[in-house]
Order: sequence, then C-alpha cells, then structure tokens
Amino acid sequence: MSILLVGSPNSGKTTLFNRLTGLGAKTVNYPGSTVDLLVGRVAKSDPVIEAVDTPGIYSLHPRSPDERITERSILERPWARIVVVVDVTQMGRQLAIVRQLKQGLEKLGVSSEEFRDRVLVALTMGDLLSDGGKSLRLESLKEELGLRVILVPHRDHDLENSELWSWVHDDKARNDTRHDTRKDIRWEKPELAKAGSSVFPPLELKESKRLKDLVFGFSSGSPSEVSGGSSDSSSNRSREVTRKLDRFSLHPILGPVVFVLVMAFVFSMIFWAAQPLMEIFESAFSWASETVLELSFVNPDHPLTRLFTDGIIAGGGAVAVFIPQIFILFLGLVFLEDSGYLSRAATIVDQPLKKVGLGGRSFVPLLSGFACAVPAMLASRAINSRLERMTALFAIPLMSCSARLPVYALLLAFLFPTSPGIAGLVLTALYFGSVVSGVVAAGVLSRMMEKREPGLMARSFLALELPIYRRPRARHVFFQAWLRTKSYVKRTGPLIVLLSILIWGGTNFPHFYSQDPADRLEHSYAGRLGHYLSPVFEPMGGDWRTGLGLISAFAAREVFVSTMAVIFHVTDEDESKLQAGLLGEMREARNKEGALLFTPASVAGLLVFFVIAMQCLSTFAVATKESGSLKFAIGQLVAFNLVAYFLSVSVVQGLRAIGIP
Amino acid sequence: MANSEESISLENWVQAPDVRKALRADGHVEFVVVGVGLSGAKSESAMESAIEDATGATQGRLQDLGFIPGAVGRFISQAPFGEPIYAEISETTVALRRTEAALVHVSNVAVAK
Repeated sequence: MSILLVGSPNSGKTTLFNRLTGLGAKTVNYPGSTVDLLVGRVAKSDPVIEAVDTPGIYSLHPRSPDERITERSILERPWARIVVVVDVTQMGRQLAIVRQLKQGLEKLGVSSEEFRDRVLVALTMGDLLSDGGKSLRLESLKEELGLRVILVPHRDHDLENSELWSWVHDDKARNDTRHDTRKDIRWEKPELAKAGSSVFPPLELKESKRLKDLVFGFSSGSPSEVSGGSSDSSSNRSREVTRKLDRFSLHPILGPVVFVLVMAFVFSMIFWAAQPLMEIFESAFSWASETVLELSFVNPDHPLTRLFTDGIIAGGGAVAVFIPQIFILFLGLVFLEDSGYLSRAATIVDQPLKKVGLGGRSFVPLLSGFACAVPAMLASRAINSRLERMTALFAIPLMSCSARLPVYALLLAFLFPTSPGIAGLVLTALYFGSVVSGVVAAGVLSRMMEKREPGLMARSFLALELPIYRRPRARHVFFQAWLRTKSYVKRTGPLIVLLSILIWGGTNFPHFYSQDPADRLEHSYAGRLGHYLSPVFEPMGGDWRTGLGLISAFAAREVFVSTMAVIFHVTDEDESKLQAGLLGEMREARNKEGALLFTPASVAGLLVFFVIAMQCLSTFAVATKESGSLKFAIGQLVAFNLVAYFLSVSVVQGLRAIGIP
Repeated sequence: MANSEESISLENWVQAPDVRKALRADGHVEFVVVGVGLSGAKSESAMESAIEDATGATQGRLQDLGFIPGAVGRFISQAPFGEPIYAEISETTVALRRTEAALVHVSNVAVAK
C-alpha cells in the first residue's frame, strides 16, 4: 500500500517524508517521464507501507512539469491514502488544495466518507507559532473540512505515538468494511482520471482564508482577514526575523552585494574544500588498480586484467574524483535552499537573465553547471516555461564544469610555467568567457525559438514565492545532498564506465601485445582515427596526437591529460611529477615537419576549444532525454563543437599572424 | 471596494512619488488588491502581458500566490533596475516581474495611511 504526500513547496513535506521513512528513501522515475518521485518505506511498517513524496504544488492546476507529476500521481498511480501537508503559517493559501482535492475526487466518484478515511491534513511548522500551536482550534477545522487534521509534532520529538504515526501505520480504529483503506483507491469513473487537468476545479483562496481565521479564532471580517497576515499574531516571530533579514538581502544595493558574497563563498568551497577529498579518491583508485595487478594469481599483462584496471577501475575513478565536488555543490545548494536564501538569489539575477530567454528559475541549473552539466540539466526540470527550460538546457554545457579544470591546469602550466599568478588570472578569464559564451548561446537560441513561435518569450514568468528564513537543519542538508549525489552517480556512473571501456579498447587494440605503449597507441583504432582526422587538427596547430587527445576526451574531458601522458610515455603515480614530466615532453614534441607541436598559439587554441566544445557523451545523453528531442541534442553537439573549432583555429592563426608562434 | 477607475496597476503604483516616499520612511507600504487581469491596466507592459495571457498561466499563478480582491499586501523593495518587485501577500513574500505586476490592480487610496 502506498501513501502520497501532497503539498505546497516549502510546506515541510519532504521533512515529514524523511521523518516517516528514516534514511532509506530512493528516487524513482515517474513512468513515461523523467521527473523523480521520492519513494521510501515507512519505518517499522509491516506489511510494507510505501510513502511517496510528490513535487511541491501551489494548486492542482499544474504549471510546470514537476507539478504535472503530482497531479498525475494522484490520478494515475495506485495509492491508498493521501497526507496533505500544510504549513500552519501559510494555511490561508495552502488549505485551498484540500478543497480542490476533495472536489476533484468527488467527480471521480469518491464519496465524502471515503475521502474522510483516506485523506489526512498534517499541519507542519507549529513550532513557528508563538505558543507552539496550542491555541489552534483544530476541532472546528476538522468539522469544516470533514477530515482528520493533526498537528505534526515538533522535529525534536519522536513521531511514534503521534496520531499521524498510528494513522499512517494502520487504521484499526475504524472497523469499516465498506472501503478498505489499506487497498488502493479505485475510481468509479476512470475515464475522467485520464482526461487530466479538467478534474480539479480552480483554487478558491477566499474559502481557505476563512478557514484559517477559524483555526486562529478570528471572527470572519475581523481586521486579520484584510491584513493579509501582516497583523497575525501567529507567525509573527519568524516573519519578523525574515523581514529584518530581507532589509539586507532584498535591498536594491545591498541585495546584490550579499548575493556576490554568498556565491563567492559557495564557489570557493566547490574548488578549495573539495580538493583534499578529491585527492583521497584519486589515490584510492590508483591503489585499487595497483593492488589488483600485484595479486599473485593475476597475469598483469592479460587483456582482461588490463580491461579491469585501466578500463573499469580507471573509468570509475574518473567519475568518482568529481563526487566530492558535486557533493559539496549540493551541500551548498541544499543549505541555501533550506535557509530560504536560494529563491532570493534567483530573483536577483532574474532581470539580466530574462533578456536572453532565461530567468530566475534557471539560476540554480546554470550554477550547478559549474560542477557538472548532468545534475545541472536534471535541475532544470523545476523551470516551468518551455522556452526558459530549453534555453537553460542549451546553455548549461558551456558553463565550465569541473572536468575541464585538470585540462586548464595542464595547459596553463605549459603557457605560464613561472608565473602562477598570471595563470590564475587567465583561469578566471576562462570562467568569465564561459559565462559570456553561455549568455550568447542562450540569446541565440531563445531568439530562434521566439521567431518560430512568437510570444514564447513573453510567456515565461517569475512570480516566485520567497520562503521565510529558517535555520538550516544539518541532518536534512546532509541527507538531501547525499540523496542527490547518489542519484547523480547512479545516472552517470554506468554510462561513463561503459564509455571508458570503449575508449580503453579503442586505444589499446588491435596491437595489444606490442611492447611499445606509444606504438600500441599510435596504431590503435583510436590512433588511426586520429591520423585519419589529422588534417582537421592541423589548422588548430595540432597533429594526430592532439586529435587523439580530443577524441578520448569525449569519455570525460580530463581524460585528455591521461591520454597525453600515454602518448608521451610519461608514467608516474605521483600527479605533480606526472605533470612536470608531461610538460617537459610536450615542450619537446615535434610534428612530422619537425616544428614544435605545442606552442603558445596552439595551446591557447586548445584552451579556447575546451571552453566552448561539448565533449561529453554523458551530457549529450542527458540533453537528449531532458529536452525530449534528439535533434536538439545533436544540434547542440554540432553547434558547440563547430564554433569551438572555428574559434580555436582563428585564435591559433590570428596569434601566428601577429608573430606569436 | 474600489472600482477599476480608481485602481492602478501595481507596476505603476510602486513608482508613484508618494509611494516611494512612504517606502523610504517606513520600509514598506501597504496596498489593497482590487483584481488581477488586463482590465484597467494602462501600462505599456500590459500590452506585452496580453500576448502571454494566451495561456492565462500568469494570471492564474498570481491568484494562486494570493493576489485576490480585498487582499492587503506590502510593497517591500525592488531589485536593481526596478525588477523584480518584492511584496508580501497572504503571509508570503513574492517576487514579481514588471509584466506580472502590471496585471495586479491595486487601490490607489492605500498610500494615505
């Protein structure tokens, strides 16, 4: 049997879900779409009761793909009961969903008795009321709604022994056999459920306000009704704190300053705090492959051994080293989300982003793109305007993801071996360039879409609710960040490992047993492809080796560095020595005419190429799925790589023309 | 309840000199919502809004957020370049673009408080 949790964004739905299920939740895809529902087993339930956390909704008239999933979960997925989660400080608005649900279910043939047995209203955030909710007139609300209404115990108290707990676990209190609420609900009129949004009536806010006044004990028509909550004694405390903080965070001048400081902090955490963790992951994986090679019963030269160590372990390692960064990114995002700041940050960038078809809602996806495009594209599901969502999906691969960082590091160390300060400045410029290219790409795509479908641009909207400020809960933040990281690894891990195996095969066969690794590589399938394509790379100042590096970078961009290492015979477990050795070899390398292969011009060209190019098959796969269009993803892949190529060629040729080799 | 002739779009209202003055003095200004929709709005951006309302999504969204006749809201501030507009309505703070604020009609008398 499953229980749906339904409610507005920020109503405390997910917190309640976590309290019911403990830490064992998993995300599942809604059939036929890519949006996640969070499903978990209710703790201590036997037989198993499943809790389903649906995406937050303002109304059962859905306006975003996320919201549509909630509606479809109610109409099409089997469920036995529903908990409507309502933030007690926002009852005036959120209670309206209960009535919408009731009228919709009535249309489908659900009697009011059955509705009463199957639906429960759970009021959350009682701790934000000055008296903890003791003076609430729940009885009158129960009567008015004809439903069970309970106040969820404070988060420091145990849920067990609460009314909610016993209702969720069983319904022994009722000895009614007319409808067994442990079995899934069945519609009298299933054809209506398939029709979709016409089932639920429009939201009735007036009625909801009246109910709120009833619960708080105001007579209707009293000042509180027209004061829109500003004189409610109820939520005063938390609202006052929020108002005080908003004097800074929403101030026309201080607001952007706060924004820049917060973002700078999150960014520096992504790059600096993740560093030691990434090194631990890296050494763990190289230790694993060394250990395998040293096992007595293993033949280190057997293709299968090599497949395991160089293909699977190294490929898995390529994903794993980015896990700390992605985890810290999620940690930062969930922290800001839980505190209430994230929506405010989104509104501050709305105005500039709007001009290129993006908006405040694209802010989080674009920001995540600096860690990795894959979770960034998944985050774009919360955008409800189609134009804005497609534009965000288009621009995300241009945000300089963390996989580009090792490549930037190598190439910048080549260009500026003695001045790390300048290298740092150029690195900043590369990130700035990636933002500019993203803005240009978004502008181009949104104008193309607008041309094809006039009015599309005006149809995107912000109208964003800003939650009250709360102290973030450490447990919740860590758990959510962990869940999102896990879901990212599950989604991309298998694909990246598969691609690494393919590239390993391509760079090692057919001359696997050749003694000379450079010879093995040069005459491998990938090497031949590099030779075949070398005329393409010559204008960029490269030859077959550059081409091979760029081709192998399609598994993951940082593979470029390890491919270079293989080509130039540099093998060293210590990374800093590896880089130094590799740089030495790169400085010596000559093409078949005898000219230097890596010159300031050709390396600058490579840098430009890496900024723009979409060399990531995982991103391509996710873009196809998320945009729902293979054409879109192919267009993106071709456009970015062509632009990257031509920009790179013009940089190399331009630099040469002004005398830089 | 004020009729549409006495009402003004929230977008224009926040720019009125007496509203700005009251905002500077108190940190917020209250307004009363008369209605949501195109009627009575006279700003340029209401024309833009006309296109977008093919779906009615914005209008519906504003109503979901609590912009219903009789509701009292508080104008708090604006982001740089005047957009978005921040206001409190039915127990929540919301951020509105100008095109969205153009659809909200507020009573013009609210400033005198």
